[in-house]
Amino acid sequence: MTDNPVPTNINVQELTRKGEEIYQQELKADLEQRNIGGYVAIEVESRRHFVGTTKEEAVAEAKKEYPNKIFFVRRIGEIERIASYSPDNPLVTQ
Amino acid sequence: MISFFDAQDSKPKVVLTVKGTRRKTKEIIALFDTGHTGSLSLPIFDLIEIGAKMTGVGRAQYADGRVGTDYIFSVKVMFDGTEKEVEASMIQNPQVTQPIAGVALFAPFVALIDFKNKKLSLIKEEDLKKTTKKD
Repeated sequence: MTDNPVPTNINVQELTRKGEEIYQQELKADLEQRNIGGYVAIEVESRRHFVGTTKEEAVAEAKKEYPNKIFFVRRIGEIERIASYSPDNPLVTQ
Repeated sequence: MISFFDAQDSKPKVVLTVKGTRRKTKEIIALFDTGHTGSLSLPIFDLIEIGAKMTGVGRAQYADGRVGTDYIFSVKVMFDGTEKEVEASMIQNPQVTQPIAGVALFAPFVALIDFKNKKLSLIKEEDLKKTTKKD
């Protein structure tokens, strides 16, 4: 057995669901008009959000306020795309 | 920066050094994927080995069109004499051992892919301008 890098005290599905809900209901219209192609990091408990032109910028801004939180991070507009890999059918296995 | 076409699979690759919360660094050979809108995706075992810290979750669309949960980890990436903190995605399938570098990682660079001669060059924009002016 190896260490799981995902903390066991985090409900990932719930965090993702809440984060996407906040994005769709409260942020989508405004962010997709002003920051399309950028990234947003949402602290779901406070419902505060932090915007950056890159994922790194958005998370860095969020970490300044909440250094130990796990954020919901999303590309503004279309979600992140990983064209060379799919979980069930790894195209790039060695 | 070391970048090349892998003779085994004819795919463009880049050599990077990654670091997590542990002192240990790891050299990886990442597939250069122009269809990856993020910075970097690392296999789960690489993230464990370097002790990367989870910073977020999100959603990503994969090659088969399916949307899944994206686990995001802070990783330091060293290349071309610089160190950059990136938010890397975890490749959850333990069968996949190939790291994938996306276009966001190379934002200060211009990528020149020569498919005929199988060469990949990543050049800083200012250096490319100097070269172009000379020509």
